[in-house]
Amino acid sequence: MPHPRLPGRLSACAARHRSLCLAVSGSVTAALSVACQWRSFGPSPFAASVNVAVALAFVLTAAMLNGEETLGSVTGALALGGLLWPLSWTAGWETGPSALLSTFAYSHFWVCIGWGVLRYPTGQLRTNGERALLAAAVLVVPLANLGLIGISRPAWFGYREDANLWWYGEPIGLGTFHLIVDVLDVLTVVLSVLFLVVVRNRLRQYSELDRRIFQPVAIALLVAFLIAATINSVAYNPSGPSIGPEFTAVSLTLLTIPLAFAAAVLRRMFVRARIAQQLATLPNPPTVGVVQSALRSVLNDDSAEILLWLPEEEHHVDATGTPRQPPGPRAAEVITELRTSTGSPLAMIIVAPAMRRNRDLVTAAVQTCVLALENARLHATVAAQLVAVSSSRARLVEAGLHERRRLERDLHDGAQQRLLALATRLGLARTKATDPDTISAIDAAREDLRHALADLRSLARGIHPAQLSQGGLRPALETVTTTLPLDVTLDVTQERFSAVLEAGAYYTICEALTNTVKHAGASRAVVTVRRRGQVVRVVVADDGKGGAMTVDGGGLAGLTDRVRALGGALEITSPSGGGTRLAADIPCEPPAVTSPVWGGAAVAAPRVRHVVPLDEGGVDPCV
Amino acid sequence: MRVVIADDSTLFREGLAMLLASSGVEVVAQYAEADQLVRALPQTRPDAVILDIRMPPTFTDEGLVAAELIRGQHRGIAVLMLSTYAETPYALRLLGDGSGGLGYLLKDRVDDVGALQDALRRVIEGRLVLDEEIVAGLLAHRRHSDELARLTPRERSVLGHMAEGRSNQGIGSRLHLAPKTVENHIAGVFNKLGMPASTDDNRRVLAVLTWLRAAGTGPGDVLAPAGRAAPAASGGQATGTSPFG
Repeated sequence: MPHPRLPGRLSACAARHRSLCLAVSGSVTAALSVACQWRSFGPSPFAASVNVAVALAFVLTAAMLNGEETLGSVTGALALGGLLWPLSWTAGWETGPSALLSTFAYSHFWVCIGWGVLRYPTGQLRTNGERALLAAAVLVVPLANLGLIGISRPAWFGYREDANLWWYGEPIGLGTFHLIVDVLDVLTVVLSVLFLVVVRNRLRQYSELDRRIFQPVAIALLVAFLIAATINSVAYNPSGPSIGPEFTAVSLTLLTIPLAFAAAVLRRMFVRARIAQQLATLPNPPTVGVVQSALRSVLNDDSAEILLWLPEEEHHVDATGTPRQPPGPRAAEVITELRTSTGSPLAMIIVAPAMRRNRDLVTAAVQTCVLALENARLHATVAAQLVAVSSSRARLVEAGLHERRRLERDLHDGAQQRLLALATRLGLARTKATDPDTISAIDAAREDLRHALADLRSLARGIHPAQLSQGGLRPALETVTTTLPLDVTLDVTQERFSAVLEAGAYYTICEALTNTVKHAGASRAVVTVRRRGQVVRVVVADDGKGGAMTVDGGGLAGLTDRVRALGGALEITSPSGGGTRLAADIPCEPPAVTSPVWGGAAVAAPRVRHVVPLDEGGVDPCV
Repeated sequence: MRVVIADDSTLFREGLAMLLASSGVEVVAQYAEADQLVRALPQTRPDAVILDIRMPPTFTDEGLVAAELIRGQHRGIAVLMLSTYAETPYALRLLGDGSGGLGYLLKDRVDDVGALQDALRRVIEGRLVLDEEIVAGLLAHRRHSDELARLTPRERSVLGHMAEGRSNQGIGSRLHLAPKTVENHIAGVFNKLGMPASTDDNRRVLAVLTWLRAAGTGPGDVLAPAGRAAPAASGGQATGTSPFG
């Protein structure tokens, strides 16, 4: 069995001196083709010329593609095929070993091409089925052909009776011979069909990128195989200087194989151009998610992932912002570590193992990503800090609310009950007292105690009205507005919200109403609390003199801060003489921690901290 | 009078029990939780229960829930709420069903055993009793100032006493007025405020409360259930919409 691959060193040398290699291999092939067919140019000049073209096309294409990583395993097969094809036509010599040489070369040519295709792209046969198919092909095509010589006469092969040929073996009966030939013809067609099935399955298993690149080659090869197998049942193999039209058809089909390879190379160039173009037109600022989907699209690899390194948190996160541990050094995936322009770690890019053959394309793609990712990380960091600030502010608000409720509870359970118990004792003393002086002293004490209790009650209510937790905004606001010296109309939803939102809205409204009483000179106010989707809209409007201004450290600035701490926004409209209107929109959910940097996915805050040991040895520092 | 008390503050509960006992009220049992009180009612069989509102386990409205339960299952037992806060919405939630035998007072009132006894007696008689602070708050509200200004000072105090749940006789004795004079004042109040007159004392309390609360609340807020205390005319006040445009 001939080895259809040029030895590695020879191949490397040829890649280094490509022009020289092209010139030498071209001349040698041309000379060889002409020499092999020197007797055929007379009877069939066109067919002979086409054969020269086929040999040249095969060998030159092999020389051109030599060094193309993805096609490495087929270039050898192409080169060898380019040498075997002209040798097949030595049949025209009709002398000495020419018949044996021709049969050997012609049958091996097909096996060689088939093997080259089966070895694409890993350089190995994958399954026992493939090995069996190849073994059967070797048995049916070259060995059977050589065996047929041993049981036949040259004339049965189509040679002239008087040709002076080396021949071996003893001929058997002509009928039996034809029967064996027919069986072998059928087997050849079956093998071609099986080969077609195997290649089709292989194409399915290729990465999308490989498939796109290799499809034209595969189709050209399959067509050539099928035509050759069909012709094989009519004309056996070259057997004289005259080349029949059926062989011309095969030769012309074979010419499409190098063309298909040229198409494959073109396709790769297109892919490369597409990578540059797609990654160059990312939106600004790009999100990790967008960069990742662009990468997936250009590499046709839906498993491609970008794990961004966050130096502050010392862990990687995926495109959704979830902490992730990069795959270990033994992972099958192709891992590329990206570094920033200053050399610090930026990200890991992980693509499917099948992409290993297209390493150059992966490298080109990830290098184009560096700037976009650096940009995205900057935005991510800022967004994360923003999230941290707003969540710590939300925690402060909640802690404040908690503290207020605790204080109110302590007052209620402690001082208030103690003073109320004192009231029962005074009441008892009052019933027992008979002396008028004592009675008046007790009455005075009772009066003081009532004031103390009333003061304490309004203090506790101001700290946190129990009504608010119990009944929500509406009853709490009804109670608090009853005592105000202006007419307050309430249009407040009965719906309940989170304790933080209710307390925030309550104090905002109370402060707004206090401002109205103090500064607006209003006679009426309207308080509206309504839910609009995921937002609660609070409006406090009065008919006062307007002209309210937000001053640093002033009441309105405090209100703005209060609403912002709830993740909301406050709008103040106060035209001079036209009343004052405060409108606050407070989100029903606690301050949202969504960041556009992760492609819209929510970032959990606080994030779980994962420290990932970076095994630099395990990754391919591609950049 | 036989009463049982539920209040989680031991200090206050025992002071109250002592005070009631000294004035001839029999305190049958005391509890720190409303549940225990309700469960023991078939045994204790009191004339009235005295309930705090904020009690264990949640310290929110356990007392109110227990009161509603008792009024549903033990119609003969009067309920007097004694609370640290006088919350109008709580009072209305309780009084809303219009049947008597119910009171809602601030705990502060325990310094006047006479008033406490009076309130107990009235709820046991099947009347409604409302704390003067709640009534004062409602009367003080600016939204009624125009209409209330049409009342004489005497009529205004009669209105307040009506809201607190006093009968004509009770009002007369508090204000040192003859029954006929009280009737005249009441007629004047109902006439000036456009409230439908009611001879039933409890319905009268609700009508007054409803009138006091009617204006300035949100749309669709029916404070008294339909068909019981007819809500008084809301006096033409705009409700729920912005008066500024």
